[in-house]
Amino acid sequence: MTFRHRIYLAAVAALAAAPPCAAQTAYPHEVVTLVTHSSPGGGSDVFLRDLARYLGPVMGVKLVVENVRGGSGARAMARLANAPADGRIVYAVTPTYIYTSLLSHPVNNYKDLEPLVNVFFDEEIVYTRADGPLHTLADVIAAARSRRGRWGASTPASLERQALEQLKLAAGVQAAIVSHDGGGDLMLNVLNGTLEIGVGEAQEIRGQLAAGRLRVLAVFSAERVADLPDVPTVQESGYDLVLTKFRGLAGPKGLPDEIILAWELAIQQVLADPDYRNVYEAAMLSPAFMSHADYGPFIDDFASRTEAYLRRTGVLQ
Amino acid sequence: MVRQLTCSAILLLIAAGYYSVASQITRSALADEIGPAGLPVVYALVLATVALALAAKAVFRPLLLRTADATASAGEPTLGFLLRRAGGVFAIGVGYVLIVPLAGYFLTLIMVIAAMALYQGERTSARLATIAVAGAASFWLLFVQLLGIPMPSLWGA
Amino acid sequence: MESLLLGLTLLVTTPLVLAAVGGVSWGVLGGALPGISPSITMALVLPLTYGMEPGSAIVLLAATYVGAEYGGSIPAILINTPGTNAAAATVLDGYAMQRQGRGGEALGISLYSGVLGGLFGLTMLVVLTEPLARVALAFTPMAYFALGILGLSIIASLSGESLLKGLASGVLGLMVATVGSDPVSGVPRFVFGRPELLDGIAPILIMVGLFAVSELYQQASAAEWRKTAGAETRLRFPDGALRRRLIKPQILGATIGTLEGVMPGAGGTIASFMSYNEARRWSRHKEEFGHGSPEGVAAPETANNTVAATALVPVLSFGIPGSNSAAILLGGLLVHGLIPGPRLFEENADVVVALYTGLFVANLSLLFIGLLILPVCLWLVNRPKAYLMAFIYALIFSGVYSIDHSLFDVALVLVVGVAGVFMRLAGLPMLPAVLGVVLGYMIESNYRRSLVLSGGDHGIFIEDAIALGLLSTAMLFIAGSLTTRAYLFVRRRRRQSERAADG
Repeated sequence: MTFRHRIYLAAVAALAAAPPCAAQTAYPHEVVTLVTHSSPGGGSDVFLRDLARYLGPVMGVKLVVENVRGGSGARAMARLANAPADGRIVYAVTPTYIYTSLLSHPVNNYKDLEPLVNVFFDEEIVYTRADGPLHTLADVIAAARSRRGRWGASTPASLERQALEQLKLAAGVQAAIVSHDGGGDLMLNVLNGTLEIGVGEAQEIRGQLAAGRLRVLAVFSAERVADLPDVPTVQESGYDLVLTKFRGLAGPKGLPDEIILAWELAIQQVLADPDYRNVYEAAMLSPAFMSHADYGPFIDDFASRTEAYLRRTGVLQ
Repeated sequence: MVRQLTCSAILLLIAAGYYSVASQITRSALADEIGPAGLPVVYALVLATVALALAAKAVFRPLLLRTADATASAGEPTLGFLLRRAGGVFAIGVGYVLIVPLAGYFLTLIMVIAAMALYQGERTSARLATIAVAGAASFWLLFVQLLGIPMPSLWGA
Repeated sequence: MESLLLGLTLLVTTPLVLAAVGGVSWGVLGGALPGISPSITMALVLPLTYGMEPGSAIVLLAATYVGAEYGGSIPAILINTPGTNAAAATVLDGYAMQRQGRGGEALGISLYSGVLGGLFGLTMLVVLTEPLARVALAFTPMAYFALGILGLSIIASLSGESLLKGLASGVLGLMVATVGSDPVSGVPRFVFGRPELLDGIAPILIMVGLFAVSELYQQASAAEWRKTAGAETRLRFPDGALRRRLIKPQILGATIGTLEGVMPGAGGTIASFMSYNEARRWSRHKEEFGHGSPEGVAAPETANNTVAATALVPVLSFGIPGSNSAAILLGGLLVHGLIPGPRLFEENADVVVALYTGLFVANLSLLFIGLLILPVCLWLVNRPKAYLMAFIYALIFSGVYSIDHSLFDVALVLVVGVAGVFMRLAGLPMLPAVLGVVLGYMIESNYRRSLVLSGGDHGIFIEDAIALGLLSTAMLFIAGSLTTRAYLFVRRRRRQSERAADG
């Protein structure tokens, strides 16, 4: 008990702006389930298990990661929508849950869940072979003007695919956009020269990046990435495209205010933890805390823009 | 020959049903030239062709080659008996799927083990009851306790 | 030399041995339960590894993988139920041997072959990681498509009496593989509004349904099994003569397993089917295949245990998991801040050496664990038929539910079992359907990716050297078995007319 108390005192010290009453309320549950639609070992799963290790002590609860696979989030959303809204169960969301909601018409969709807080943005980058001829995004576009470009995205209906389709349209070039089963086989096809460029999460390719086999041409974020200060953004290169691959948390509809507040405080605090910072910086995740008040509108906006895009391309009718 | 022709007819039906669903798959701007329905349509056509060829073979092959007629040997069960018995096992399986959300993993498993053993000719006895309960208990220990699989449970947790 | 010393030191100073032996035991248990895949088995121990030091953590996961790949063969042989995808080919001759009362012999062969395969794969992993990584890298979408076609071409030789029926069964399998999200545009196909179907139907569900459940349905009307004599229910290790006979299929299995293992996405299932087919092609006792051939057990079991080691090549060199199990191993690496890639071998050499050492211990301990538990398994399956069937049914319900905690999957397996009974009655072989399910997605997605690349030009398959080579081999296989079939048909007809003339 004293330990938990100390943690919450620390939380107050760290967050002077936070309402003081939050410090006295311990989280009302001892065990909290974190649901992910990712398989064990997958991107979201690793992120969540890392987070759980550092967040558990901060909140004074035991965090259990549960993989509810199937239907790219459809089953996880159903699980959450039918769970009691008391803070015992939370879902780790990524853009996938929006895409699945829109494309697969599941019984429960993103509208049945309450966005809680955002934690990170993933850096989406454009990369090529290090021994290849391309050095800038302009080279890529120029190459695609003279002959058909060969570009790759991770999965069929994904943020990355959407970004490449939009880039192709904006530049007015011809390019084959090949989708894959994930970031891994995409990277292989860039490494072996089948594809000229790939778009993916920075963390998936960092091993090859460190070994100097891949070169980053541009980042899709709004500003340059701290780890890659020399790499321009896509926007700087002249195309108004920004990708925000969010990683956040959502719960069942109607979460009580004190639960929401507890998560807001705990996430801010864990993001400031220097040990955890080492972990997430190595994974090239950018902390991007968003409070509950901001996160709902953010998700709605993301969803409506995605839906507009999917209707425009005829994926949705 | 009747059996072979029935087989061809069923395959042809599967091909037709699959084709009709495949032809309704939505085609989006993200699709390639072949499209999501491309290969499924090819598969349906290949299956239909094979089904017709099998039917033709069933009719014409006896004219080319005398094959020993596959008459049921003495020990073999008749078709009707086989299907009836198989239907019973299937029914027990369906029973499991329907009952387990209500009665929970442990109790339903006792019922299934007992039902299968009885169906296969064991008599109702204390031994059967003991084996069913002990069996269900060991499955419960293995899957729920050791492997931590959240089986449907009567007690909610 | 230095790393050998390091390995020896690790062996005596850390809980490495404990991790290896524990992992293998746990893996065998998980692999032997149908539905509990190697990846689920590994996921269950993943949380334990967080608190361990990196070397032991990776060894625990890798040893679990080794154990699970082996464990799948136990129910395949004893109850006609592949415990894992990769054990599907073992069902054919393994279960035939069990029905002949030679289950103990089959288990001995699979254990012996599995250990040899695992050790061979480990040697390849240690010695040839660099060149093998280059093989993995050389595989383009065109080459993966060609590999899938080569896999399908096995149907021509494994169809039994009728090629047409094999073809029908294979197409049915391909059709099942189209269920789920489209690989290029992402639209749902044949999903009928069920979220369970969006990710496709897992091959293990089809395998358990076709092999195990339909066998239960059919056994319900069959007579009591012949009581096997006491001596035959003991585990029997292959003797000298048999060991010599198994050398050829084991070499084939190890070679194919090495190559398929390093290709992300190809994996153990294709390796075991292809090595089964090759073992049959080059065997002096072809006629025994499908009716309890020891070679038919040795080849796939060598292959899938080889894969368990060589599948680590793409994980360590590229950070690309070729399978769900490899993905969990990758997760284990990442959690410890180990980033796979060429630099892993330089910067974290100690972990790599620990992994190699641990795998060595794991494969050796597999032998002893097998000797310990196999007699128990043999005893279990020699209970009265009524109880055995009841327990197999209960095991299938529990195992299948464990995959995704879904009763829909259980119902699906029951229905696939019904389809299996009809396939048996119609004389449609099961194997081509299983091959179609396993390979369908790989073939379709890579075929369409290739054509997206080429802008619709099929010439791209000829321009890619590996694809051309694999496709030509497939054509040779098909032409070869067609010729054999035609020859047999003509000879049979001539004999009949001669006999008719005599009579």
